[in-house]
Amino acid sequence: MRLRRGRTAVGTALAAIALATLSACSSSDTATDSGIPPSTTSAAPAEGAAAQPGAGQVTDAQRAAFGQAHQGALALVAFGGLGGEQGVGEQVRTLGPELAEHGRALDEQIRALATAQGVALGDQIAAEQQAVLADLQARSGQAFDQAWLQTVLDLQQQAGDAANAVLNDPNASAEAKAAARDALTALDATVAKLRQAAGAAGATTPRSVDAGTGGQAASGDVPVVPPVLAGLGVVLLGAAGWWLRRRAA
Amino acid sequence: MSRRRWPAVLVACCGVICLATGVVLWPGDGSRSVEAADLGAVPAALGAGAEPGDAAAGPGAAPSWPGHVPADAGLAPPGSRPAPAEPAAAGSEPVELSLPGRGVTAPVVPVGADPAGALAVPDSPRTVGWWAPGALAGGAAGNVVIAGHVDSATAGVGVMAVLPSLVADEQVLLRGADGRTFAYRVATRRHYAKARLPAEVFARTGAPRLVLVTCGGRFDPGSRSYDDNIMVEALPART
Repeated sequence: MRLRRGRTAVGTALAAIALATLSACSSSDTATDSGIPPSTTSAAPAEGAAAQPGAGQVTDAQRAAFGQAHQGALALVAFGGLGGEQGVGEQVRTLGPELAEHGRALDEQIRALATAQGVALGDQIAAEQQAVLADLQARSGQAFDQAWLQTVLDLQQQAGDAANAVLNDPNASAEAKAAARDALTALDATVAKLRQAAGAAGATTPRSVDAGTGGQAASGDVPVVPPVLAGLGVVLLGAAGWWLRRRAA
Repeated sequence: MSRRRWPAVLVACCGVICLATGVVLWPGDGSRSVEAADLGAVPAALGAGAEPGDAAAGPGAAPSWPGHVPADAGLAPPGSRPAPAEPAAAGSEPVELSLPGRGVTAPVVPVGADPAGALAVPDSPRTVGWWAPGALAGGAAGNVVIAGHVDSATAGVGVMAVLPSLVADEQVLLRGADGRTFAYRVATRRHYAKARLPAEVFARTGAPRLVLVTCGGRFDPGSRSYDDNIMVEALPART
């Protein structure tokens, strides 16, 4: 049960951060107020959103926030789905669908907000993320699980960065900062569980490489002085012994 | 003690001193080492902030890496449909490493990190390990990390023993599981104290590179290990 809570927190955290980011942008009346250069063009209302309040007054910063949040949600759906389909380890096969489910829920929330503000969102995942997906799809077995876990951990890192950005933004609203703090708390727990899973799967980044135990490949100059000294010592001891035995005879 | 015995005692004392000094200075196998001269400029893979599109990446490098989302990603320009995204061609899991100039060919198996946090290099020095969470052979971004034993106490010298003698621009080939072969050219070689192996060796972002890793430096017969790592960086060959 505890593990399940950790898994669901992945999507919840990302959703909270995305919504916090959007709230932060929406909390500023104008682009100038938020310290962001004024928009040079207003976004055209999305289909069916022309009558919505605020339509046509969307700033570049808001559009960027919607785009990032939307892509984050799409990435969750895509990466989660792939983990469920292609994963071989139990943790990846169960964590994947959880991620995808929460990605879809997050996307619905973002789309609703975007429509209300007159921002049109595409349906396709960004080319960069598609390349990462194709990279993962080219793997199989344990290699897939390891790379998938690393990728999901990267997503967590991005989510943490997004939350910290909101916390460090002096223009972010109190509600946005509270959401970001909650998201960070959830992320910390989730990242710990993901790292545990990654450690069990050997998916962590190595800290060292030990690749040589024989010494046969090693070479070096053979020192002369120590063997000569040791040999001389043996000869002298032998000579002394011979001398003493001869005297005793 | 008889005065006649003094010379013998003196010689015996000298013998003991010589023998003790020789034994103390005797190095055994401790002075043996695998030496590898540095080659080329500081590897770009280890430079701060290396990202796709930098000078080392070349004009053909695809600006894509895991986790990076452009600020306007997913936005549809007003009144237009979203442009179809075109993913870069994916690489392939490496299954064979070859160095044609050395007559060296070795099977490649996927490996991860062991519970102690070290790369789980294959036991056989004739087999090399591919760090599976890293980049694919021929991938658009990140380091393809291949590591192998320079030698083994039970199986002798390994295929990676050639790393110290590789020269700049020498060809390295990786054959993928899908049958494609990807060519790389040796660019740099560096050695690091094991404890200071840069984490960037395992970078999953940045321009695509092949990184070959083995052991080098002084061999400690007591711990049966080497002090250093030797790292060779090769860049995708332009076709």
